[in-house]
Amino acid sequence: MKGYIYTMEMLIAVSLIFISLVYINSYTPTKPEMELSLIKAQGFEAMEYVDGKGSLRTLVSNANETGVEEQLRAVISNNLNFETEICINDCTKTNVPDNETVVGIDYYISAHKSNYFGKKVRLWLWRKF
Amino acid sequence: MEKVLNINTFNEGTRFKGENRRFCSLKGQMFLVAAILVVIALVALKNLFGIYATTEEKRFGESSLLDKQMKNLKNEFRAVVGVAALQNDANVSGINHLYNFSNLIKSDAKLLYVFVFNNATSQRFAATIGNFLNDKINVTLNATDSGLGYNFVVDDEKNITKIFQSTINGTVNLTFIYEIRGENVTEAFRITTDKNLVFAFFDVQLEDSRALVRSKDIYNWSWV
Repeated sequence: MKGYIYTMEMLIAVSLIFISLVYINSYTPTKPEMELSLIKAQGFEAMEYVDGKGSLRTLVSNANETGVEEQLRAVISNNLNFETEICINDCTKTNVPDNETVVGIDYYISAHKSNYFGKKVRLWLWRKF
Repeated sequence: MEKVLNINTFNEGTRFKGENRRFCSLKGQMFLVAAILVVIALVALKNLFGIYATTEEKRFGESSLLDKQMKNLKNEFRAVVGVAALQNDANVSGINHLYNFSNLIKSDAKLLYVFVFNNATSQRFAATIGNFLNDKINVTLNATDSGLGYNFVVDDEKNITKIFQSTINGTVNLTFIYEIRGENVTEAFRITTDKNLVFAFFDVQLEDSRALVRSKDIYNWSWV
Protein backbone atom coordinates (compact mmCIF):
# COMPACT_ATOMS: atom_id res chain seq x y z
CA MET A 1 0.00 0.00 0.00
CA LYS A 2 2.85 2.35 0.90
CA GLY A 3 4.69 1.51 -2.26
CA TYR A 4 1.55 2.07 -4.27
CA ILE A 5 1.07 5.54 -2.83
CA TYR A 6 4.74 6.46 -3.41
CA THR A 7 4.49 5.25 -6.97
CA MET A 8 1.32 7.26 -7.57
CA GLU A 9 2.87 10.41 -6.19
CA MET A 10 6.03 9.88 -8.23
CA LEU A 11 3.95 9.37 -11.37
CA ILE A 12 1.99 12.54 -10.66
CA ALA A 13 5.25 14.51 -10.19
CA VAL A 14 6.79 13.14 -13.41
CA SER A 15 3.56 13.77 -15.34
CA LEU A 16 3.49 17.35 -14.06
CA ILE A 17 7.02 18.00 -15.29
CA PHE A 18 6.42 16.30 -18.63
CA ILE A 19 3.19 18.20 -19.31
CA SER A 20 4.94 21.46 -18.39
CA LEU A 21 7.78 20.74 -20.80
CA VAL A 22 5.37 19.97 -23.62
CA TYR A 23 3.29 23.07 -22.92
CA ILE A 24 6.33 25.38 -22.69
CA ASN A 25 7.92 24.16 -25.92
CA SER A 26 4.69 24.19 -27.88
CA TYR A 27 4.05 27.88 -27.27
CA THR A 28 5.69 30.31 -29.70
CA PRO A 29 5.29 33.90 -28.51
CA THR A 30 4.93 36.69 -31.03
CA LYS A 31 7.88 39.06 -31.26
CA PRO A 32 6.59 42.33 -32.63
CA GLU A 33 9.92 44.16 -32.34
CA MET A 34 11.75 41.44 -34.23
CA GLU A 35 9.14 41.62 -36.98
CA LEU A 36 9.86 45.32 -37.58
CA SER A 37 13.55 44.56 -38.08
CA LEU A 38 12.67 41.81 -40.53
CA ILE A 39 10.32 44.09 -42.44
CA LYS A 40 13.06 46.74 -42.71
CA ALA A 41 15.56 44.16 -43.93
CA GLN A 42 13.09 42.84 -46.48
CA GLY A 43 12.39 46.33 -47.81
CA PHE A 44 16.08 47.17 -48.12
CA GLU A 45 16.86 43.90 -49.86
CA ALA A 46 14.04 44.56 -52.31
CA MET A 47 15.59 47.95 -53.14
CA GLU A 48 19.02 46.34 -53.53
CA TYR A 49 17.58 43.76 -55.89
CA VAL A 50 15.87 46.32 -58.12
CA ASP A 51 19.07 48.44 -58.11
CA GLY A 52 21.09 45.37 -59.03
CA LYS A 53 18.81 44.75 -62.00
CA GLY A 54 19.77 48.20 -63.28
CA SER A 55 16.27 49.65 -63.37
CA LEU A 56 16.15 51.60 -60.10
CA ARG A 57 18.75 54.18 -61.09
CA THR A 58 16.98 54.99 -64.38
CA LEU A 59 13.59 55.27 -62.68
CA VAL A 60 14.93 57.55 -59.93
CA SER A 61 16.74 59.79 -62.41
CA ASN A 62 13.37 60.20 -64.19
CA ALA A 63 11.52 60.65 -60.85
CA ASN A 64 9.26 57.75 -61.83
CA GLU A 65 7.71 56.64 -58.52
CA THR A 66 5.08 54.48 -60.20
CA GLY A 67 7.77 52.56 -62.02
CA VAL A 68 9.69 52.01 -58.78
CA GLU A 69 6.56 50.68 -57.08
CA GLU A 70 5.84 48.31 -59.96
CA GLN A 71 9.35 46.90 -59.71
CA LEU A 72 9.06 46.51 -55.94
CA ARG A 73 5.61 44.90 -56.06
CA ALA A 74 7.10 41.84 -57.71
CA VAL A 75 9.68 41.49 -54.95
CA ILE A 76 8.06 42.52 -51.68
CA SER A 77 5.93 40.01 -49.79
CA ASN A 78 2.15 40.06 -50.33
CA ASN A 79 1.72 40.41 -46.56
CA LEU A 80 3.06 43.95 -46.71
CA ASN A 81 1.73 47.20 -48.08
CA PHE A 82 4.21 49.86 -49.13
CA GLU A 83 4.54 53.34 -50.49
CA THR A 84 7.55 55.00 -52.09
CA GLU A 85 8.67 58.59 -52.35
CA ILE A 86 11.59 59.91 -54.42
CA CYS A 87 12.82 62.97 -52.61
CA ILE A 88 15.82 64.95 -51.45
CA ASN A 89 15.12 66.42 -48.02
CA ASP A 90 11.40 66.90 -47.47
CA CYS A 91 9.79 63.53 -48.01
CA THR A 92 6.01 63.48 -47.71
CA LYS A 93 3.93 60.66 -46.25
CA THR A 94 1.18 60.59 -48.85
CA ASN A 95 -0.98 57.44 -48.71
CA VAL A 96 0.86 56.22 -45.61
CA PRO A 97 -1.65 55.25 -42.90
CA ASP A 98 -1.50 56.96 -39.51
CA ASN A 99 -3.15 54.13 -37.59
CA GLU A 100 -0.64 51.39 -38.51
CA THR A 101 2.89 50.55 -37.39
CA VAL A 102 4.95 51.78 -40.33
CA VAL A 103 8.67 51.36 -40.93
CA GLY A 104 10.63 53.59 -43.29
CA ILE A 105 13.94 53.01 -45.02
CA ASP A 106 16.05 55.30 -47.19
CA TYR A 107 17.92 54.06 -50.25
CA TYR A 108 20.28 56.58 -51.80
CA ILE A 109 20.95 57.05 -55.51
CA SER A 110 23.56 59.66 -56.40
CA ALA A 111 24.09 59.47 -60.12
CA HIS A 112 23.17 57.74 -63.34
CA LYS A 113 25.58 57.46 -66.27
CA SER A 114 27.38 60.81 -66.31
CA ASN A 115 24.74 62.82 -64.44
CA TYR A 116 24.71 63.58 -60.73
CA PHE A 117 21.27 64.17 -59.18
CA GLY A 118 21.60 63.01 -55.56
CA LYS A 119 18.22 61.66 -54.41
CA LYS A 120 16.86 59.10 -52.02
CA VAL A 121 14.02 56.63 -52.30
CA ARG A 122 11.99 56.60 -49.07
CA LEU A 123 10.17 53.27 -48.76
CA TRP A 124 7.34 52.99 -46.23
CA LEU A 125 6.20 49.48 -45.24
CA TRP A 126 3.39 48.21 -43.04
CA ARG A 127 1.60 44.92 -42.52
CA LYS A 128 -1.63 44.18 -44.36
CA PHE A 129 -3.08 41.97 -41.60
CA MET B 1 0.80 -11.21 32.22
CA GLU B 2 0.69 -12.13 28.60
CA LYS B 3 -2.37 -9.99 28.11
CA VAL B 4 -0.59 -7.01 29.57
CA LEU B 5 2.38 -7.63 27.37
CA ASN B 6 0.14 -8.01 24.38
CA ILE B 7 -1.61 -4.74 25.13
CA ASN B 8 1.72 -2.93 25.56
CA THR B 9 3.05 -4.39 22.34
CA PHE B 10 -0.12 -3.40 20.54
CA ASN B 11 0.14 0.18 21.82
CA GLU B 12 3.79 0.48 20.85
CA GLY B 13 3.10 -1.00 17.51
CA THR B 14 0.35 1.50 16.96
CA ARG B 15 2.53 4.43 17.97
CA PHE B 16 5.33 3.21 15.70
CA LYS B 17 2.91 2.82 12.78
CA GLY B 18 1.62 6.36 13.29
CA GLU B 19 5.09 7.82 13.12
CA ASN B 20 5.90 5.77 10.07
CA ARG B 21 2.76 7.02 8.32
CA ARG B 22 3.70 10.65 8.96
CA PHE B 23 7.20 10.05 7.60
CA CYS B 24 5.78 8.37 4.46
CA SER B 25 3.44 11.30 3.85
CA LEU B 26 6.35 13.75 4.03
CA LYS B 27 8.27 11.72 1.40
CA GLY B 28 5.35 11.82 -1.05
CA GLN B 29 4.78 15.51 -0.58
CA MET B 30 8.46 16.18 -1.22
CA PHE B 31 8.12 14.63 -4.67
CA LEU B 32 5.30 16.99 -5.54
CA VAL B 33 7.04 20.01 -4.04
CA ALA B 34 10.23 19.18 -5.95
CA ALA B 35 8.21 18.73 -9.15
CA ILE B 36 6.58 22.13 -8.70
CA LEU B 37 9.97 23.76 -8.12
CA VAL B 38 11.36 22.10 -11.25
CA VAL B 39 8.39 23.36 -13.29
CA ILE B 40 8.87 26.91 -12.00
CA ALA B 41 12.59 26.76 -12.85
CA LEU B 42 11.85 25.48 -16.37
CA VAL B 43 9.35 28.27 -17.03
CA ALA B 44 11.75 30.92 -15.72
CA LEU B 45 14.67 29.60 -17.77
CA LYS B 46 12.55 29.36 -20.90
CA ASN B 47 11.48 32.99 -20.59
CA LEU B 48 15.03 34.08 -19.84
CA PHE B 49 16.55 32.30 -22.84
CA GLY B 50 13.72 33.53 -25.03
CA ILE B 51 14.44 37.17 -24.18
CA TYR B 52 18.19 36.68 -24.69
CA ALA B 53 17.68 34.96 -28.05
CA THR B 54 15.30 37.68 -29.22
CA THR B 55 17.73 40.43 -28.17
CA GLU B 56 20.63 38.79 -29.96
CA GLU B 57 18.56 38.12 -33.08
CA LYS B 58 17.39 41.72 -33.13
CA ARG B 59 20.95 43.01 -32.73
CA PHE B 60 22.16 40.71 -35.52
CA GLY B 61 19.31 41.77 -37.78
CA GLU B 62 19.87 45.46 -37.23
CA SER B 63 23.66 45.24 -37.69
CA SER B 64 23.04 43.35 -40.95
CA LEU B 65 20.77 46.18 -42.04
CA LEU B 66 23.46 48.71 -41.13
CA ASP B 67 25.95 46.73 -43.25
CA LYS B 68 23.62 46.94 -46.22
CA GLN B 69 23.08 50.66 -45.71
CA MET B 70 26.84 51.17 -45.50
CA LYS B 71 27.33 49.30 -48.77
CA ASN B 72 24.71 51.55 -50.41
CA LEU B 73 26.49 54.69 -49.22
CA LYS B 74 29.96 53.48 -50.23
CA ASN B 75 28.75 52.61 -53.72
CA GLU B 76 27.08 55.97 -54.13
CA PHE B 77 30.12 57.94 -52.95
CA ARG B 78 32.21 56.12 -55.52
CA ALA B 79 29.61 56.94 -58.16
CA VAL B 80 29.75 60.62 -57.19
CA VAL B 81 33.53 60.76 -57.64
CA GLY B 82 33.40 58.74 -60.84
CA VAL B 83 30.78 61.04 -62.36
CA ALA B 84 32.79 64.10 -61.32
CA ALA B 85 35.80 62.76 -63.21
CA LEU B 86 33.72 62.75 -66.39
CA GLN B 87 32.91 66.45 -66.18
CA ASN B 88 34.86 69.24 -67.85
CA ASP B 89 35.88 70.69 -64.51
CA ALA B 90 36.39 67.56 -62.45
CA ASN B 91 37.63 69.44 -59.39
CA VAL B 92 34.68 71.81 -59.06
CA SER B 93 32.21 69.02 -59.90
CA GLY B 94 33.77 66.71 -57.31
CA ILE B 95 33.79 69.36 -54.60
CA ASN B 96 30.16 70.37 -55.22
CA HIS B 97 28.72 66.89 -55.75
CA LEU B 98 30.45 65.44 -52.68
CA TYR B 99 29.26 68.32 -50.54
CA ASN B 100 25.68 68.03 -51.81
CA PHE B 101 25.57 64.28 -51.36
CA SER B 102 27.04 64.52 -47.88
CA ASN B 103 24.36 67.06 -47.03
CA LEU B 104 21.75 64.60 -48.25
CA ILE B 105 22.89 61.71 -46.06
CA LYS B 106 23.96 63.66 -42.95
CA SER B 107 20.74 62.79 -41.09
CA ASP B 108 21.64 59.09 -41.35
CA ALA B 109 25.45 59.11 -41.18
CA LYS B 110 28.51 60.91 -39.89
CA LEU B 111 31.25 61.26 -42.42
CA LEU B 112 34.56 62.80 -43.33
CA TYR B 113 36.08 62.86 -46.80
CA VAL B 114 39.25 63.90 -48.56
CA PHE B 115 38.92 64.61 -52.27
CA VAL B 116 42.00 65.17 -54.40
CA PHE B 117 42.13 66.27 -58.00
CA ASN B 118 45.48 66.32 -59.80
CA ASN B 119 45.86 68.38 -62.94
CA ALA B 120 48.79 66.91 -64.85
CA THR B 121 48.89 69.88 -67.22
CA SER B 122 49.32 72.58 -64.56
CA GLN B 123 51.25 70.25 -62.25
CA ARG B 124 49.11 71.16 -59.28
CA PHE B 125 46.71 69.22 -57.18
CA ALA B 126 43.87 70.33 -54.95
CA ALA B 127 42.91 68.55 -51.73
CA THR B 128 39.42 69.19 -50.30
CA ILE B 129 38.45 68.18 -46.78
CA GLY B 130 34.74 67.75 -46.07
CA ASN B 131 33.56 67.48 -42.46
CA PHE B 132 30.16 66.07 -41.42
CA LEU B 133 31.17 64.66 -38.03
CA ASN B 134 28.84 66.88 -35.98
CA ASP B 135 31.85 68.77 -34.60
CA LYS B 136 34.68 70.93 -35.91
CA ILE B 137 38.06 69.36 -36.65
CA ASN B 138 41.61 70.76 -36.53
CA VAL B 139 43.44 69.63 -39.64
CA THR B 140 47.11 69.32 -40.53
CA LEU B 141 47.65 68.54 -44.20
CA ASN B 142 51.15 67.81 -45.48
CA ALA B 143 52.30 66.79 -48.92
CA THR B 144 55.64 65.41 -47.88
CA ASP B 145 57.28 65.34 -51.28
CA SER B 146 55.84 68.71 -52.22
CA GLY B 147 57.29 70.66 -49.30
CA LEU B 148 53.99 72.28 -48.41
CA GLY B 149 51.78 71.94 -45.34
CA TYR B 150 48.64 73.58 -43.95
CA ASN B 151 46.99 73.86 -40.53
CA PHE B 152 43.37 74.88 -40.45
CA VAL B 153 39.98 74.28 -38.86
CA VAL B 154 37.04 72.76 -40.71
CA ASP B 155 33.67 73.44 -39.12
CA ASP B 156 30.86 70.92 -39.21
CA GLU B 157 29.05 70.74 -42.57
CA LYS B 158 31.82 72.68 -44.31
CA ASN B 159 34.60 71.90 -46.75
CA ILE B 160 37.96 73.57 -47.37
CA THR B 161 40.29 73.22 -50.37
CA LYS B 162 44.07 73.60 -50.35
CA ILE B 163 46.39 73.69 -53.36
CA PHE B 164 49.68 71.84 -53.60
CA GLN B 165 52.44 71.67 -56.18
CA SER B 166 52.94 68.34 -57.90
CA THR B 167 56.37 66.70 -57.71
CA ILE B 168 58.82 65.88 -60.43
CA ASN B 169 59.01 62.17 -59.66
CA GLY B 170 55.24 61.73 -60.09
CA THR B 171 54.26 60.64 -56.57
CA VAL B 172 53.21 62.57 -53.49
CA ASN B 173 52.73 61.28 -49.95
CA LEU B 174 49.76 63.16 -48.55
CA THR B 175 49.42 63.03 -44.76
CA PHE B 176 46.07 64.02 -43.30
CA ILE B 177 45.95 64.50 -39.52
CA TYR B 178 42.80 65.68 -37.81
CA GLU B 179 41.93 66.27 -34.20
CA ILE B 180 38.35 65.92 -32.98
CA ARG B 181 37.23 66.09 -29.32
CA GLY B 182 40.82 65.62 -28.14
CA GLU B 183 41.49 62.58 -30.31
CA ASN B 184 44.10 62.63 -33.11
CA VAL B 185 43.64 60.52 -36.24
CA THR B 186 46.26 60.15 -38.98
CA GLU B 187 45.58 58.98 -42.51
CA ALA B 188 48.25 58.71 -45.21
CA PHE B 189 47.68 58.51 -48.96
CA ARG B 190 49.95 58.06 -51.96
CA ILE B 191 48.89 60.27 -54.86
CA THR B 192 50.14 59.76 -58.40
CA THR B 193 50.78 63.13 -59.98
CA ASP B 194 52.01 62.33 -63.48
CA LYS B 195 48.44 61.87 -64.77
CA ASN B 196 45.06 63.53 -64.31
CA LEU B 197 43.61 61.93 -61.24
CA VAL B 198 40.65 61.98 -58.89
CA PHE B 199 41.26 60.41 -55.51
CA ALA B 200 38.82 60.18 -52.63
CA PHE B 201 38.96 58.88 -49.07
CA PHE B 202 35.71 58.37 -47.14
CA ASP B 203 35.24 57.68 -43.45
CA VAL B 204 31.56 56.88 -42.88
CA GLN B 205 29.81 55.97 -39.63
CA LEU B 206 26.30 54.60 -39.31
CA GLU B 207 24.70 54.15 -35.95
CA ASP B 208 21.38 53.14 -34.47
CA SER B 209 20.25 52.42 -30.93
CA ARG B 210 21.98 49.03 -30.80
CA ALA B 211 24.94 48.95 -33.20
CA LEU B 212 27.62 51.09 -34.84
CA VAL B 213 29.18 50.41 -38.23
CA ARG B 214 32.19 52.36 -39.50
CA SER B 215 33.91 52.03 -42.85
CA LYS B 216 36.92 53.68 -44.49
CA ASP B 217 37.14 53.46 -48.25
CA ILE B 218 39.40 54.75 -51.00
CA TYR B 219 38.56 55.37 -54.62
CA ASN B 220 40.78 56.68 -57.37
CA TRP B 221 40.64 57.03 -61.09
CA SER B 222 43.29 58.40 -63.41
CA TRP B 223 43.35 59.29 -67.07
CA VAL B 224 45.80 60.77 -69.51
